Amino acid sequence: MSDTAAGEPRAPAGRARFAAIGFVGGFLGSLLGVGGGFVLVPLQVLWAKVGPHLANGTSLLVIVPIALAAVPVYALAGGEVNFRLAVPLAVGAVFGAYVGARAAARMPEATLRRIVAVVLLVVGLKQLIIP
Amino acid sequence: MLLTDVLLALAGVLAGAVSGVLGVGGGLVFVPALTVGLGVPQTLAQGTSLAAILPTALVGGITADREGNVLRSHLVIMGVLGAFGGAIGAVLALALPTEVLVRVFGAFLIVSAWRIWRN
Repeated sequence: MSDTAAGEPRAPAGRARFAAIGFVGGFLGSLLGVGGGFVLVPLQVLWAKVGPHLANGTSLLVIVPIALAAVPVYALAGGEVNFRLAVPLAVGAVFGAYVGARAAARMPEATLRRIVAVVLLVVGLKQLIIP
Repeated sequence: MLLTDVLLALAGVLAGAVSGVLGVGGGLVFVPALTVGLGVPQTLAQGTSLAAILPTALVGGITADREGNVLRSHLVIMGVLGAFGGAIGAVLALALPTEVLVRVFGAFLIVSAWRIWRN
């Protein structure tokens, strides 16, 4: 919220740039099945000079149409969506986001960061070497 | 309620908490939880992850908007092009051989790990 109050420009860059960011975020987010925040946030910050909090919030709402377009393709073209598995994940995530937001200040962030990074590295190496 | 549901809900809580504290998306946890944790094939995990992300991102996005943290002026253009890119990305994910998609995802995880470690 602080970065919006600090004179966030209403249109920090041209529409074409935001269109490109949306497209790339949607493409990669759907290709990898992760939504697209990993592209939408840094591109808005670095390329369109949007403040990090604003970029993060905007990214979440852009992911909604990305997922709305991608899920039917995965489901109808390949039957590659299991809603039975998606529901507990989503319920847990909404609860976890609530808990995480409140516990953020008390979490050992540096330790958590390293643990998550190492786990992702191990899984990533495994998938890259033995797909 | 099955054991699978409990495990998935716990993975969801972890994903939600990690995204809140570290600022990374829930999908980064959803997909490996499904593939590595439950042995779900890569494309099914990705499609399921996107379905789980939908309500999660909607709730998070509405909350962010209430706090004034959404760039409303450029939301529509990004969303429309995002949907377009999202459809194409899904078509490509389904067209790629599974081993290729798994390797691409593995590379993505390694890059993500590096970014999280450094931040």
